[in-house]
Amino acid sequence: MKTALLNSHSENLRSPMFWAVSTSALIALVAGLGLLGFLIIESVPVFSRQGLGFLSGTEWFGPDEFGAWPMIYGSLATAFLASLFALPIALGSAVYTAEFLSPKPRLAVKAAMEYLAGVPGIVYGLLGMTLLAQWVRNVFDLIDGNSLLTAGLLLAVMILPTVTTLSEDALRAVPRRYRETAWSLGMNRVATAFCVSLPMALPGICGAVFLGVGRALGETVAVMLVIGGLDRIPVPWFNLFAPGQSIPSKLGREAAEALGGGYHWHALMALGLVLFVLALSLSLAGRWFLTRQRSA
Amino acid sequence: MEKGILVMLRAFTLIACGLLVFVLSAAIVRGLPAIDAVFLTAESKNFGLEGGIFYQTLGTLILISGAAAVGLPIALGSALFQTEYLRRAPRLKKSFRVLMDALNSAPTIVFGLVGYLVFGAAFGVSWLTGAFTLAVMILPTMQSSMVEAFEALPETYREAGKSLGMGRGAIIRSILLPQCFYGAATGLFLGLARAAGETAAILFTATTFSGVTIPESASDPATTLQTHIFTLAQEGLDPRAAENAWGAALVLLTLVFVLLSAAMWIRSRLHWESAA
Amino acid sequence: MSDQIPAVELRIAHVFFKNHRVLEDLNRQFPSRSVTAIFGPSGSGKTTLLRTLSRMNDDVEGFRVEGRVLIDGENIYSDAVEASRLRQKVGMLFQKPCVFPKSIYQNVVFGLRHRDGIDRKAVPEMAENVLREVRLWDEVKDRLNEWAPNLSQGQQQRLALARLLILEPEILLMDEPTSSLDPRSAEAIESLIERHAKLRTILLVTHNLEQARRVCGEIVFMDCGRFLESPPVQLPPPAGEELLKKY
Repeated sequence: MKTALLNSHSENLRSPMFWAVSTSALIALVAGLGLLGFLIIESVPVFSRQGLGFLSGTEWFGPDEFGAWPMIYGSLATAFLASLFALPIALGSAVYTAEFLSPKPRLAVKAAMEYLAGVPGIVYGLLGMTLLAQWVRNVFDLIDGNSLLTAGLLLAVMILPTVTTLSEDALRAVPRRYRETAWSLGMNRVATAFCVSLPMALPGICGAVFLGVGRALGETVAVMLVIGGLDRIPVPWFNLFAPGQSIPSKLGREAAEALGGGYHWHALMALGLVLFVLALSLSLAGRWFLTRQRSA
Repeated sequence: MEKGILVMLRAFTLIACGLLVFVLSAAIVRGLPAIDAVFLTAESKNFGLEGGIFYQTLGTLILISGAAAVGLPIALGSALFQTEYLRRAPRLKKSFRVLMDALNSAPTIVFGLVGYLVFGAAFGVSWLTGAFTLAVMILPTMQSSMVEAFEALPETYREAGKSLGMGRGAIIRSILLPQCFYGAATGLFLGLARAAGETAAILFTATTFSGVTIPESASDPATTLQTHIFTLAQEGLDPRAAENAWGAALVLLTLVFVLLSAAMWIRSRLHWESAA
Repeated sequence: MSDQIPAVELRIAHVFFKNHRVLEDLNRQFPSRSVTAIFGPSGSGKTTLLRTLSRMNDDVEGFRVEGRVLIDGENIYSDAVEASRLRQKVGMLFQKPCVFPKSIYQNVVFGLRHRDGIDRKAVPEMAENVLREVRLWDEVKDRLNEWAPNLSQGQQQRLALARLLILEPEILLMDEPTSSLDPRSAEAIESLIERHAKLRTILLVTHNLEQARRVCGEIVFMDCGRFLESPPVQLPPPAGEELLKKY
């Protein structure tokens, strides 16, 4: 007996519901594939002319060539900084919320994280520009507060709620019986949280961090306002107090000038493709970790 | 030792929650002085340095309504497709979910670039291009939330419908949608909140900075709170620009939080009902 | 709707879930207008058999039928048969009632909304009749607009049965319908089966041999996904006989 792909197809084909539903699914499919497809097609001229030199080039406006490395570096550096700053606080509050809080305050923390994640990027940008950049300038005695470090700090705030709430979910998913076993062995709650729950939730927490970093990579306007906008790798390369440029920030700055055509536009689309691939791989890795947590 | 760690954990949690308080109070302290009746109801003058943000607010509302009008049926349909019509094809179902995840992970500026190419080719830089772009952007947000709601409905409900001889369409219309109404509405409001807070995707697809009032035709650009704040922020030095930017930011933040609260309130009703 | 009440004929070679064989070699005729009990230990495949008869497992991943199930001489697993059309003839009552979060009345008439050729004016009377059939009318007649999930388990099951009966199914499949009910509800359902014995073709899965003996014309024994020729040896004698011996 054959297995029908779509169940009871004869019934489906005559049902208006089936047609309505599969049409919208088709549109969603086209939207998803179209997004990637357009990015690839539009960046073909760049990769066919420059090959991987596009990725390693350090001068954006080279003589009829474009180099994306400073932007890639800026994106990776700020995303790395963001996860570095966000992780201790996110993990700490996730452990505290999941292991030590009673249901009501726990829900309050979750709600606060949801609101924090909902704050528009542009509002973070405004905050970063008027407050954070000044603090960074004063504390580190810089000429200009707009730097890779400032962007990293701001991004840390922006991904904090994502990482916190997903890590908390992962910790909550650890079955209660493991905790109870640990308690019965005389371990206190702190030891249980760190030696039993945390290791078991590790895949989920990794997933949370990956998804958070993926978010950080894609953030545009907030970063644009505080990163400094200089397409150059700082000297020395780990000097994070220097201004820099991230991919979305570059795209946001220049897309309006180059809209629609010319090699400049194709170069921007290629940059967009690089960004999408980076964000996508992080997010897929993150989701993989999260499903592993669930099936564990 | 145990005490010390506990104190530290509590401090981290307070910092995380304190950030929300900090963001809110900063927006209120800096934005409230700018807000009065004139600011909310007048059009902006002198490149946003004077006047108000009436048309910006309107533009944001137009864009998110347009995005919801386009995105909602597609999200609902594709969520139903994934949960109800792909039951015997788990691989297809998984691929579809991965595709939606991929769409969800795409940086918003990328939606702007491709949206400009695709929808901009038809309508130019216009509110309609922006609404379509935002619709695609919030599609996975709404879809995944709806899938979650449909999957949470116990199978016994579908089987009760089947045992009465109802076809799949009838089950969807009379059982699934009424039972999952709150879940679907939660998804809608989460999507709206995400659209309202978005700047990069509409920066060069939908908006121009000044001189725009109500878009009258499909090819008219709009002006929005998000892009208004962005442009004012880049003006930098003029204190009037900063004050008006904060005023607009407070209005935007209020709008987004109202939408989020609606989503959260509806979702709490959902859990309350399934528990009953 | 044809006046003919169909018989059910099984010509099942195998039923699989993924690679797991759950039913095997089931060949049997259930005559029209008869009540047959299917009796066996849990896990013997009784419920699966019943669900197979109404194609309830169509959506289950990896479910596969080898062989034929004939209702009215037609194989219900052929491509020409629509599951929902089939289920309009073959009603199924589950072990646990699932009432919709609506009023009692709305639950009773729920399935009617999706049928053609229903005289709207007759609906309230039809509802009253089926509620009387399941002996629920006296308990709920004054509160038809109340929330159905607030009813007791037994009342919910009788409501589910009424909801099914209003659609006049020709074949009625019942999966341990009384297993977790109060005696009063169980009695109501049993008496309904007896009264409908000559109206429909009824298959009753039960754990309760007493019940099977009381209400069914015939008892089929199942174990490990097969029909048994004779009852399993460890079968207890009817409780009635035991009682007689005692006193």
